[in-house]
Amino acid sequence: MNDPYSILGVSPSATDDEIKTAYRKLSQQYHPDKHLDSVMEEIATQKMAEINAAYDQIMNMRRSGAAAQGENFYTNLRTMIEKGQYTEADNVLEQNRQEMSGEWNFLKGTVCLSRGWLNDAYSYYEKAVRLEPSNREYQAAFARMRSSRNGNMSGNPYNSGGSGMNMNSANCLCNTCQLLICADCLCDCC
Amino acid sequence: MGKGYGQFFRLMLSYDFAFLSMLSGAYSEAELTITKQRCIIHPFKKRPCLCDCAELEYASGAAVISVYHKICDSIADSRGLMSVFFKIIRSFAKKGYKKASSQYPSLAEVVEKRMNEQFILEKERCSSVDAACEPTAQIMSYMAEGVSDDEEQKKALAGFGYHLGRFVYIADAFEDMKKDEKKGSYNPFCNNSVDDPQRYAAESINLTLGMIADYYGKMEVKKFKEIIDNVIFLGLKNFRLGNKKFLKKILAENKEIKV
Repeated sequence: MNDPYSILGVSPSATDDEIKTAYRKLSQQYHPDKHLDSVMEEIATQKMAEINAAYDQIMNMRRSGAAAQGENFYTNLRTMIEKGQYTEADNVLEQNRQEMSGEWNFLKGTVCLSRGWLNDAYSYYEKAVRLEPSNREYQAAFARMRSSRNGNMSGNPYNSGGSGMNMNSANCLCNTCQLLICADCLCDCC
Repeated sequence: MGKGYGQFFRLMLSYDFAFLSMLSGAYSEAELTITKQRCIIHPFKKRPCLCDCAELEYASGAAVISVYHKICDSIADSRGLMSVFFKIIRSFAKKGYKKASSQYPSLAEVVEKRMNEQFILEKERCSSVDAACEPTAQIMSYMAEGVSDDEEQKKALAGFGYHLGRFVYIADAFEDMKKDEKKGSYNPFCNNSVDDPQRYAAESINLTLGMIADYYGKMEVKKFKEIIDNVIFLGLKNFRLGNKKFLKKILAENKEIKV
């Protein structure tokens, strides 16, 4: 049998959705009902069978592939990201969308962050933390972005807390504590 | 800039490119020669002026290329008399653009490609802020990268430029939000997918500033550190208080250099 991807006219890196669209289009085109009583009928039937087989084969390959990879799947993705192969990693993530997985959201967020898509990165990290609240790694990544979203800039030489806008509550609380401690020290002196 | 490309472009100079020339100055080892000269806008007072050096050449070339494409963009956006007006302006700019684009062909190519992307994005009323920023961010990234030859520094500069471009785009969109809403023009923050667009825009700016600071931390500037610190941590940061004039004031205070 020929390559199932070329039968559907898509590339092996196409997403599941793209494959579904291509499949739908082709099956409309070659539907035997359309070619009733014509010389084309036999060819259309044959072609249709080919298309169906190709589609099933791709979908089965993808499903078993994702399941077999399992743990491996994310380990491989992490290796890719560490090597800086963000585009490849993003393709794999898009082909296997698992939006209810904390790890999937975290890695997708990391890929978004690498290309500067900060708003998307923020929402993926947020979702990862929501799905797996106890994961320290997700927490750290999310906290870092949240801090800059609240107006913090690393290495700011002028950082005297005078930014005014969106001062987060933790900061205020901290200042209050400092004040109390100072007051306490002064009391001790007396 | 006047010397290289004619007086027309000199009048179109913006703070973005004053900053770019400062950045390329910050990366060069060469001593700067500053002389007192008369400025075309303030002819009665002699001002300190930085003269002919390679760093200024690069920034002026980049400015000319981007001004020219902005004019082309305005032609595409406007109708009737306004479009004729911009066409006349473009005819003034053509000669300078030819020179700059032959000197920096890859830059001209990148700017042209990204401006087309921008045009399509806006036509399709792209609802993703991240996607809408991409063309401007990529242009600035490419421009900033050209400032250094060192591989590591190029990386830091590309990231810094990307987010600076992102900042410029978001800040403009943030400022134009009310106007665009009234007119029905495209603005990435004017769509129904977010509850509080003002807040969302302010947070997008903050996220971007955070990244600018991170990349700036990796850059090894040799000169003007205080001025650049000032622009980034005070100027850009305080923009989000809704005061773009403040940014201009800070730049103007620090900028005694004429291009």
